[in-house]
Amino acid sequence: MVVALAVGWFAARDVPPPQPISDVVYDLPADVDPVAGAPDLADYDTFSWLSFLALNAPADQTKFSDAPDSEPTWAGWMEDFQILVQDGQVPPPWGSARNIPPLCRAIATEANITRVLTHASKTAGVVNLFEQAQSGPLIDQNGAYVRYEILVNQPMYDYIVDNQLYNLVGLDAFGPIDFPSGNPRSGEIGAIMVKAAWKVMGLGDDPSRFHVTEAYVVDAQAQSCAIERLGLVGFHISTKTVSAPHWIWSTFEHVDNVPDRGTLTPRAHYNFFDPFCEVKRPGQCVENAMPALPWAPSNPDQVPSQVVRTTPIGPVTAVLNTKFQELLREANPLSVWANYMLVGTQFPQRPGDPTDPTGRAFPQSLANTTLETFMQGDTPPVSSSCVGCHNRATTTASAKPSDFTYILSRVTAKY
Amino acid sequence: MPTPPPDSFFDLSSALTGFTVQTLKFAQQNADFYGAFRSIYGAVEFDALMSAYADITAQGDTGADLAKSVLADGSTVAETARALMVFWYLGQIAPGGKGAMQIPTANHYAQGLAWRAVQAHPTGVSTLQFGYWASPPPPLEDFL
Repeated sequence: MVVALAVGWFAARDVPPPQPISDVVYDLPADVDPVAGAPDLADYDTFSWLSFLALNAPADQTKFSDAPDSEPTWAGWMEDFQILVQDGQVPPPWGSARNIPPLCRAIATEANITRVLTHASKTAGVVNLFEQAQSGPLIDQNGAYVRYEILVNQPMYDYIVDNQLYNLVGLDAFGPIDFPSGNPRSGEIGAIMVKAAWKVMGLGDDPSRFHVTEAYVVDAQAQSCAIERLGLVGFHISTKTVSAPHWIWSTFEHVDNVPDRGTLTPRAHYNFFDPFCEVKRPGQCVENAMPALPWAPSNPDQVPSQVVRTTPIGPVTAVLNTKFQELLREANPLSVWANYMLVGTQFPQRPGDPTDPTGRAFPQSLANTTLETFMQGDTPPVSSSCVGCHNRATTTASAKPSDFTYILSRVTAKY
Repeated sequence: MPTPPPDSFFDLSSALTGFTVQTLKFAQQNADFYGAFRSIYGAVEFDALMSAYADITAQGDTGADLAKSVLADGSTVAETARALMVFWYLGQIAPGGKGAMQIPTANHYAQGLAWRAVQAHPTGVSTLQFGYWASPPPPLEDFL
């Protein structure tokens, strides 16, 4: 309710119409580009959508109009596991293929599969094998665990590698961590992190509505690996810019994921909600409840998560969603990317506020139903806040602030 | 969608609390002080306070003078003004100014100005980074 009120203030001026996207060059925006004066919610949401388009533009330099789906640009970025090396190792050069884990080598006959998913959650500590950040796993309507991956762009990767921030000696010796910022004057792109949430394409899913990929999916507990076809259901973009040294936090979801609480829309299939749950599984349909322990993807009879969105998407964001989705359909009526929506953008309203290293972020809370499923709401400090959580990230060595990334909190290589 | 507070609400609140309008607007974003006060304390009393504020500002009073006028002995809205100050500072309010104090939401508690007045933060709700306790807090002016 309070967020909606604040958004009402931001709605004072018209949302700028996005440019046609059927034939433009998909350049990443270096920073927010305010229409007038200080940037506001509409400016930041536009930044989020332009970033989404640029990152999901075909990696092979074709256009959205050429195919309904294609491998996106960010798929070639480096994964967090490639940074988190062992003692004495150096992260591989930028662009190196991901190593196929030993568990998967026996089935590694598909030459074109390069993606390896081991996260069934957002952390070990903060991103580990089976749980989301500070909570549990998300289980889809077919009983399959949602899988996650975290990747960084080259400016962020180079900063880590060049400054030896991948081991404890380097972290301890280095001064304050300050990743490069996107600069609108020079056009230089700053550090960007993306987190992707994937569900296994199964019964009731229509793959033509998703961006899909094939990947080796590792179950470390069961010591198994399988090749799965997965659909993108959630997508975080975190961007450091000159105007937002606290980063800009953009989050997208597939439109079929969940209904808003109390506003069930007639639909044949939600990814993470069953309108007939109570009939099928009486007493097991508590909304947004974490799955019962033990958590293991290979457990039989997994109970699907019954997820609803507790904070509806705000009106400014909803208008932009419609406009960008329409433009994507104009480019290609079958575009899978038109089936994604911006949930929100968290941004600093007062960068540099000495009393608040998050820059008086707005909105206070922001959650993606596939990445912060069980932390939705607006109760401080337990409800999900992108910048609020990442503001607490420190390096393993020296426990100094790690500039809003938990990747450096997971470094274990001693040298 | 609730009605956004009028600017006069923030101007009056700023005069009564000593905090800037911007700080109050940030607090209002996260906790509806305006709507909660009006509904819990009482719309009649609240509207009388806003009306008195409008009359006083029409006479040219500003800032501290304005606050003194609202709180002066014999002022019919002084009690309501004090309740509003308490609400802004502590996030607590009593229905109609009588009975037990209540905190409408966790956000009202966390956004209470008392924390900023003592250059601190509510227990468990800090936006400061790890290790902040080893350094003195920023000056009070930054918290206003």
